[in-house]
Amino acid sequence: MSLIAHGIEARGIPTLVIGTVRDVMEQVPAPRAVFVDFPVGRTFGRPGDAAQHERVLAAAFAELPAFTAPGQIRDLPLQWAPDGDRAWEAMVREELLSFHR
Amino acid sequence: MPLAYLPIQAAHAGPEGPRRLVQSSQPAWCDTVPPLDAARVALLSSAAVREAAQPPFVPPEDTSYRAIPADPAVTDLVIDHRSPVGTDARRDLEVVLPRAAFAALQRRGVVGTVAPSCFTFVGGCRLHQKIEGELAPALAAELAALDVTLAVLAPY
Repeated sequence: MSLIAHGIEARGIPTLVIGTVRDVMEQVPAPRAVFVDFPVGRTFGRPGDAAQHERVLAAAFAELPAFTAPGQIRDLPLQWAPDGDRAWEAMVREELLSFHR
Repeated sequence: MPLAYLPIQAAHAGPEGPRRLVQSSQPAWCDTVPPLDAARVALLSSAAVREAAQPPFVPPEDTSYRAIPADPAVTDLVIDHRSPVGTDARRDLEVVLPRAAFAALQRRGVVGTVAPSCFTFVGGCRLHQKIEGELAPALAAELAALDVTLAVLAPY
């Protein structure tokens, strides 16, 4: 996605990448990116939760004025489970593992 | 601490080997972003989403793209990406392609206008030169033709 973002910026159109895989985002920096600490494949939240999707998008947009240089990643103040539980990581590992069985 | 995905992917890489990440050979940066309430925004996704009547994507090494309606009322859409993390996206495409959220923010005046099309392609493709040399410029031209002033990219 970084390659495409840079290609769009080269045309004079600013971009905002909204991603969930921070280690990839760090290795191939986009011009402007926000990190959502949600499971990969659910960037905007849980299925059926339109209000959450809108909150995530609005939070991403709210970061736009804060970017001062290319390659920055800003962390959105959001978490998948209200209590901060990260049991979802096991689900993601299992999903990714299943792909290669 | 964010989940580290690269070690998981590396440990379970297929015969083609671990994913190779490539940085842009021509980094670009627009130092001015328009005010959001005056911006014309477009959404791009690497989930390889298409209208059912459009030709299918052929992942993983497919560098084509599709323009699909930004109108969330158009629901006859298909995800061709073969990612194993698509369970929820197949239940509700909004979790990766939030067209309704874009429309809602436009109605509320948070964003100026939403371009009539979203653009989708296959994430994880390893044909980096074609992505940089062909796909990215083609998408940029589509966005320019729609007078888009802010592109939002959502990796799958």
